[in-house]
Amino acid sequence: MFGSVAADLVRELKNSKWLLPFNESSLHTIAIETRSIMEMITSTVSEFREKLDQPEVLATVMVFHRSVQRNKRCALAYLYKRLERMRQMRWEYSSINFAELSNNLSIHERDYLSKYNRLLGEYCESVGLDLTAVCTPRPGLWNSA
Amino acid sequence: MAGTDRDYYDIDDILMAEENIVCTFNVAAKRLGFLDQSADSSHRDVVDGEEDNLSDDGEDEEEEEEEEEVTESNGLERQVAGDLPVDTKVELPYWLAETLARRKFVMMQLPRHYNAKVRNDLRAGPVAVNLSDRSAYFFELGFRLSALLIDDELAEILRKGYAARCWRVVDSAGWEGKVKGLMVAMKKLDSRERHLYMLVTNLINAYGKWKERCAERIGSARKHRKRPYEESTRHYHATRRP
Repeated sequence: MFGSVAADLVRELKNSKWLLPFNESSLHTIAIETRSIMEMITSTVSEFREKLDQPEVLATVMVFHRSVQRNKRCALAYLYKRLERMRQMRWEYSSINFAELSNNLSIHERDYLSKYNRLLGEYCESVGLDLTAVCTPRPGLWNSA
Repeated sequence: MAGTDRDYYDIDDILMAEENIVCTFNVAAKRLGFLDQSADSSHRDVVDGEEDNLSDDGEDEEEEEEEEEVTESNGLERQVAGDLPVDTKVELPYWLAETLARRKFVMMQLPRHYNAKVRNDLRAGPVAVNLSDRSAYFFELGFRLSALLIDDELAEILRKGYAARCWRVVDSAGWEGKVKGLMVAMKKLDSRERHLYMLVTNLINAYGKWKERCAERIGSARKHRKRPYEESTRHYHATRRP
């Protein structure tokens, strides 16, 4: 069934808290599968060109089309959620150990992280505060004594 | 979990749509013969209508004769697979089944874990029903299916059952023992309820800490644990002593 590699990719996200190594190979597989589904679509359409309004052909094309959409959704969600987690990590652990983490990231993600760091740093400077510091007050702060 | 359940990027939404639904094709779809897994891949042999791979839902509606009569023996390549005969039963993931069903290319059957027995159990004693071995996305999928199949009774039962179970989850969270207690308590819950359970547990723990004046101090952002990006399976949230 189409979309199984894509589903496994998303499951990998679900079963991990932060960031596992970037799964380049799965994304590659998904891309190849999507391309071959596209070929099936074009061959089906060209084969049944005059019967395109028949439900038999429509159902087939719909199956292929949904599979392409599914692959796309899973891959995009994978990429998007990883970026989201990276940002969350940056806020939780400010002095992030860039070198070690970046082993798990793709090149583009590393680029994203460094740009995000810079952006955040500029903003914090302009505000004058380190916004990623912990925000809750010390326990004894408001004691009257 | 996102509040809006139609979020494109939501992981749980995506995984919920992976659940398999048994569908009956209303049209003889061209070239989709490979969907039918009970046939062998060459589509040449006539299989005696065995449907071991497909799950039944307890209703004796399957007709076993139409299974394999007409397949074009067009060779072994996937691209030139044979047609899918009408009334073939196939297990399709929900993301595919829903679209096909809306267009009436396919008829969906309610999965086995929404059948009459489970409904009665949910009606009578919702808290005791073990959902984790039925489906990880019992309620979400159930609501979607009940809307699609216009099954108001199912929606009603799910709603009431979910409400009752949520009350129990919120009540009992935070009172269980540490890891072992969690395991026992969460055994019957589906994934959404588990998430709720963990939320409430953390909430209660945080409240307890606040009462004991263990809240975080102001300071620079917490120094990260040695390797924060590695998975820690024991702790849902990394907690750090002040």
